[in-house]
Amino acid sequence: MTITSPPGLHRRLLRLLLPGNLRRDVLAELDARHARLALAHGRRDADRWYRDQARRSILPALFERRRRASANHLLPARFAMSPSSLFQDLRFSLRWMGTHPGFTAVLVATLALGIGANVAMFSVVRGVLLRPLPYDGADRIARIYNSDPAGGGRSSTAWLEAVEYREAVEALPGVEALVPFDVYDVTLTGIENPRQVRATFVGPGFFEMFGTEPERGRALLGEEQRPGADGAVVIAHGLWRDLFGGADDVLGRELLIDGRPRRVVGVMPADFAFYPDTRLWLPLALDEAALTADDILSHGAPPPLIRLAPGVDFASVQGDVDAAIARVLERYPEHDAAHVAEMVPLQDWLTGGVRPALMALMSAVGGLLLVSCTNVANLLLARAESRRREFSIRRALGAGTDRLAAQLLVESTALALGAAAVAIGAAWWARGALVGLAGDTLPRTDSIAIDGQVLAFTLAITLATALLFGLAPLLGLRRRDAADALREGRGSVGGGLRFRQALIVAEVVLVVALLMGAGLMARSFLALSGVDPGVDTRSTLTFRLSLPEAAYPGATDVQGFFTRLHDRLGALPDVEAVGAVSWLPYADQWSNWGIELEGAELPGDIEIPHYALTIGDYFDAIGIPVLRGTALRPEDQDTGVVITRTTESLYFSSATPLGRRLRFRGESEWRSVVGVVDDYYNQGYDRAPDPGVYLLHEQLNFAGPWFPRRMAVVLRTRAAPAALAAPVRDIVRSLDADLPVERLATMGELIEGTMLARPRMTAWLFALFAALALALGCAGIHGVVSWAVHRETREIGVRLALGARGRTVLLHVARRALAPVAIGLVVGLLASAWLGRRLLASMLVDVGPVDPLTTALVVFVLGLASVLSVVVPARRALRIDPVDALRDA
Amino acid sequence: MGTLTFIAAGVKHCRIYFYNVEKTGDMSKKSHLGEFEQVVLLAMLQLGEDASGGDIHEEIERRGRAPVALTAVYVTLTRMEEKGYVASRRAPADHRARKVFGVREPGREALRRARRQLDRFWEGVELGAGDAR
Repeated sequence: MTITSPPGLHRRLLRLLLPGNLRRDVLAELDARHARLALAHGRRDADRWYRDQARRSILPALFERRRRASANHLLPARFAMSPSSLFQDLRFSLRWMGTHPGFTAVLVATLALGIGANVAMFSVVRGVLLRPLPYDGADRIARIYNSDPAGGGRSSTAWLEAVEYREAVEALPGVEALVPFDVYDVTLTGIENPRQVRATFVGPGFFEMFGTEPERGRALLGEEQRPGADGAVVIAHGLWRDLFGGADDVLGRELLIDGRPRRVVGVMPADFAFYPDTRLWLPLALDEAALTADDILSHGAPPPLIRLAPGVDFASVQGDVDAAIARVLERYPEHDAAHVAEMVPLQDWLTGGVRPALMALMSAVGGLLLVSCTNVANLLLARAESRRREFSIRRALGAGTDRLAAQLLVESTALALGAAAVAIGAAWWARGALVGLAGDTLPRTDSIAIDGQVLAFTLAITLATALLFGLAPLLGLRRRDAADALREGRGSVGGGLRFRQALIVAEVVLVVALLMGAGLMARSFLALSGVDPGVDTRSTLTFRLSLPEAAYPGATDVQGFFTRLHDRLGALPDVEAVGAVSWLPYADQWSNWGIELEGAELPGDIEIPHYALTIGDYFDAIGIPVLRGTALRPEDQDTGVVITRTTESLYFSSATPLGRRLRFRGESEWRSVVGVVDDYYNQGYDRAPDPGVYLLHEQLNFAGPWFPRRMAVVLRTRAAPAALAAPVRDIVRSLDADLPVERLATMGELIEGTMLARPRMTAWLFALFAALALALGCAGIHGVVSWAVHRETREIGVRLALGARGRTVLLHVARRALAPVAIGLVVGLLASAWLGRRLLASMLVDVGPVDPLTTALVVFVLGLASVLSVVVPARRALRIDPVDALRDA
Repeated sequence: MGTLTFIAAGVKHCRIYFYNVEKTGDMSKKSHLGEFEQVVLLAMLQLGEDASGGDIHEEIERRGRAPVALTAVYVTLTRMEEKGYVASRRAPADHRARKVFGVREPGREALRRARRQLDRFWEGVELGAGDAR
């Protein structure tokens, strides 16, 4: 924007509003005046003047458009509402609402329920899925995985490969940068409460990739990437507040990170969050000269970040990137070179897992809103009956249908806007409750807010609902001449009832769809809850320790600590077994590495196993049964490995694996299989486990940054696991006072958080929306039947007078009420089957989108609710006195 | 909140403009000159021939009226042109080819009628101190 350019948004608004014949001249004059004001008084005053002019121009522009449309016969003259009649209708509507507060409250509450649920859910959808990431060019950033095109899944990248990828891929046209990074928790000591925090170790060009500068200080410099010169750290806004109280003099202060002092050089803005939950950004400081392909643990690099040039999309560079990576892998023939680069855009990577659930819930609240609208339409129809005389007189005096429609729309808009105001307040609360309920299951919760776009959405759905239900009274009332209406007879219900029954059919269809969705999600959640996770969830306590390299530089230091810890924990009363593992099931991300079998040729598309390091009696402690052979024992510390059941079936087919030898790709050493253990669902409950290999931590004997110092310790106990929490902390503190104990929980609690929390929340919300829809639906059915009985009082009285039995009257009433319910039920079940396949199928476990049991339950619940809704008005019909009915008519 | 302020500010000016629109909206009533139409014509006469919409707008604001939208000035000029009170042309000498306006005789006559009508109502009225007339 040049210095004399007017505010873009307001100029665009004016372009939109101004009639064509005025647009050019008005904009030219405004721009010229803006430029003169900017020169004379400064840009700010000129912009303020321009914005004021834009606001003032709205109504003149709109009325000029209307006047020209009328003059050109584009609008029927009588359709043109004058502003005074609009205000008159509004005053009349508000007066009527004031004199009928109870009825108005019911209408507003019904609408507010539907609108509020939509606003709350949309704020979540917008914040999590729709709002662009707060990074410059975020749609051009992706994570780049090594993916087996034959379906063998993804494999981890070796650090050596990541470095060579960078050189090859960054040279491609269309690619701006490729940045490797690593993520793991580090220990902050030298502070009041030593703790573990997430750190992202970033390669050169990381901050430039996101186009984000620290809000204080600077980013990491290129020369700070050299090993030994990497003493700088950039901290997160939240950590700056927590540790330093937001002090201005934070730059230059020191933090002890894994026992090593680092100097704070920058503070990132509060909305910068890559990697999620990161509190520190440190130089990756790869010693590239020391990287080898033979070091098994020099792989496991997280998929690096790639950024494309402006105007380039991922599909257009896919071939070039694949070719570049293939050339790199050709230099390492012991690796599997048949990989493609799978580029996952950053936003998809962050939010892809929750998209199906959120879209399903958004559809559910949309259905709830439609149910609210049909209910309100029915209520307004009832009210319109009492205004039939008024409408007919107005027609007789010359008011056209369009004039009456305008009045009804003004009334419905006033109602809807009132409901929207209540809904926004309710949505504000609901949004906070949703975010609290979601906990860690939802990413980007800090982006969830009731902002301008959410308010615009609220206005849009409010006006749409006003249109939907506002014209219902006009559609439901038959056109009659003035004489008929003035006679004001009761009796035949006719077209009014049919229209209301049609509304009931629509309502029931929506209610059935919601009930089916809730039923399927509930059954799926119950199936998930019943899955045996393959580990002991009740008797195990687990916690995580991260040993700083400075205090534990070599293998003997690390292994010595864990040995002492193992012995002290094992001595606690009630502790039956103690072990540790590098990546805890259901809590940590695993690494994959390909294996070779001695004397066997493996198919190219075989799944790549994950691996883990263990200490002590890990399998016994966590409750993973040993199926064949033995668990890892001290005598296996040289070359023994244990494989999982899936590895056995995939790699060894019919032959027994015990005694067979395997090695990891890139290694020279062969290892013997000493045992087979059971699987656990490391890819989630809805997917089969992938193969796994375990080896003893003691098999490793090297120093360096990749030596595993972070282990999850597992204890099996006879007593309540929570009782061990304090002794565990005491023992760890006695071994190392600066070592924080993190993530202390039972396996049951961990699995609940990672595997069950999101499906539970989705199922609960679906059930809530379905229950609300069912309640509204029953109220609607009850209302229609009551109204019909009231309208048919004379007819029923005549029937009773002529000898009809009570059962006949009951059947008549019930048929009127339940026929539309039956039609709605059938149509609703068909619609649910179609919707279920599209929205829910990917989320369901052990149940399909068309499920007989759920269908039967829905039919039963809806049938029962409908019958109960009809009972009261039906009994009222039975109590009609024929004499009174005939007299009153 | 910015959105709400934006809308509220627009609505605040609604009633002012409603009156003018209702009074001046019917182009068949040539005999009646609305208050704002009078103001626009008088500003044009102050400026002389070939005044642009922007010039007229600045003149109105300079002479102490409440701030008005430039769009409102142009809308009024367009309507008065349709009534035959003003005429417009493009000024070729101006490289931006701005539209300029001038008052026609029917417009002057309408102003005279409006003034005579107003004078008839002012006859005999004494407001005392502060009467600027």
